[in-house]
Amino acid sequence: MTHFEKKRSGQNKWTWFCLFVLSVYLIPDIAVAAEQGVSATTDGLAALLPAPKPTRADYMTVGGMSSRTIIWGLAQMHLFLAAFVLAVPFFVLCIELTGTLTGDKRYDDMAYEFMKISMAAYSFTALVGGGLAIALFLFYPVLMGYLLKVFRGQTLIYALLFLGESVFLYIYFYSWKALRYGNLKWAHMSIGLILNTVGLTLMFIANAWASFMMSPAGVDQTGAITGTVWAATRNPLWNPLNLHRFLANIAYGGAIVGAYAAYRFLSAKSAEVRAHYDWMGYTSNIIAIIGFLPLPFAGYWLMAEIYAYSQQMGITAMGGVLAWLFIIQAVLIGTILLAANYYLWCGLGRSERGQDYTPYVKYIAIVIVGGFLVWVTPHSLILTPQELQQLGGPNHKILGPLGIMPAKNIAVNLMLVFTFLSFQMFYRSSRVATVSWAKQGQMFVVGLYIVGCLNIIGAGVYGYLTPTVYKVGASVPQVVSTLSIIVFSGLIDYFMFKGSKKREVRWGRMSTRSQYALFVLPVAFTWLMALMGYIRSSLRTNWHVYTIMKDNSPEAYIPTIGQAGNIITAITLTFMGLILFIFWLSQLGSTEQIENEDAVPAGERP
Amino acid sequence: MIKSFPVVVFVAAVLFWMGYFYTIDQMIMEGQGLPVTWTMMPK
Repeated sequence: MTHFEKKRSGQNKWTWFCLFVLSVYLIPDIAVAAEQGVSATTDGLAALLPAPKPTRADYMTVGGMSSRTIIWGLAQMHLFLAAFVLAVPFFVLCIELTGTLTGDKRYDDMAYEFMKISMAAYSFTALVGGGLAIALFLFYPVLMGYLLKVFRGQTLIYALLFLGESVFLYIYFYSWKALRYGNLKWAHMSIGLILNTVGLTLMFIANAWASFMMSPAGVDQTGAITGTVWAATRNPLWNPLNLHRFLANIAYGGAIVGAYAAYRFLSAKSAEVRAHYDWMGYTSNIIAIIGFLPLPFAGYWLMAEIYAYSQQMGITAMGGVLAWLFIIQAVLIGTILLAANYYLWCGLGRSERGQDYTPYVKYIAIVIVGGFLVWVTPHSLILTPQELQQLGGPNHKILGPLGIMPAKNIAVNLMLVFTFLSFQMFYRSSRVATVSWAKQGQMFVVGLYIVGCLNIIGAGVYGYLTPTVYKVGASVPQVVSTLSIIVFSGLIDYFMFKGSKKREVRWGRMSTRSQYALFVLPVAFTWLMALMGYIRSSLRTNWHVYTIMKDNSPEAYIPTIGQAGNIITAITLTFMGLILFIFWLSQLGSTEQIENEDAVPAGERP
Repeated sequence: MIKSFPVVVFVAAVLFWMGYFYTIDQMIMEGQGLPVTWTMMPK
């Protein structure tokens, strides 16, 4: 084959791959269009009936147990597992593509190992999902009946997609070694693409049901169905929730496989194995950070849409009793950022050049800890009358201004920018730029950071000087500034270090302590997701479907923060126990017993 | 002359990024229906 033919063959592969991507991404649209056709013809008299009004007798209790707590636990566990098993194939496909394009076999091995962990979790996801479905129909039959009427044939599409997810997941995993080289590798990645498309569509459908309960659409004020399934699906909170969960899944999946890598790193007996799991832990941490950096902005969009849909709902979240939970959220997010940064700082010790960057770590730490403290500062304090008198009001005179959004927006954006800086320092620690414009490029990056950070601070201070609507509006330039710093400095670095001199990175040269930072990430993430899930669900107050269908069960109230805290913690601990079991299973799968083990002296065993 | 070159580039970079951030701030505020003067204060 001539060089030209080889090149053409490569181009053909890309063309087919791109066509395939396009066709696969059209599938959900076709499914929705077909569903619209079905719904248009199946509407009948039932569509004109208002939503049912369940009475106390419609709610079953089993053995005096709290129905809501059972559903809460199962739904949260299902969400944790589903987030993990949907996220892993997504970044695995990206790693597989990187391995194919760079020709580095290590990427392929790592991607396969990530999939192994995900496979162990998949059956639990299905089991808990099945349990949740049964429990929902048992404890909330009237609500489920109504949701089935609203979403009609879409529920069958969901079931078919679930089947498709299982089929493509098994094919993708078990064909890994059979379809490893040449064109077959592209066929394998195409299967991965279908798997991800099916998985994402599944999540989008489930999100439509959850968001419909918060912001119903396609129905009138009485709950009578007036629109198509697509109208109910595309409710005001659907897309913000889709984006938020998509990003959170990636961050969460990265954090969990990072903990697996840390677990294997700590139990490794040889330097080679330790080096492999150190690299795996580093990659996982980067995946978690990539998913996490834009996440606050997606959360901000979701909350803005909640306010736009119902100001009452927004005030319940941010201005009522639930507002205090956002302080706990700040503590958990601060913990995640501190742990992720600490791990990156420890990573500077892997190369000799990394030492040059160590003096800057303390400045980054000051910004992150300072930002963390501003973020956790509450605006209004819960005080006794005596404390109130001593303080002269509910707000602290000096710290009070730090409790409102402009200060918190500065803090969050700077924390994200400096987390990216930690990553950038690690990236640079193993490279020496050789391009002629390296110094000028460096000046542009320094200038970008200085001016960008000043713009973030300035836009925050601006919020104190202008009316509320301008204060809220100024948060958007802050977000764009943060993203500009990340994107432009990332691009300048990419071109500046292209073809750079590589310095040796000693994988495995990491402290034991650094690995515990990788354990902190999934624990904090799990707790955070459970906490925010409680807040999102509580926003409906005493409604099953907000303003349409009232919850008349004995538990139609927002649980107290203490009660919710206990349940959230119990769910988090249960999930952590399950994850440890999954890690153990994955390790067991790669353990081989030696024949006549007793005959080999203990010291000589591998 | 040669030694001061990075300083010149740095000043140029700062001016460039100031122009960039000022422009996007203006555009974003106006785009949200929040008219501002050249000093960025509400009109």
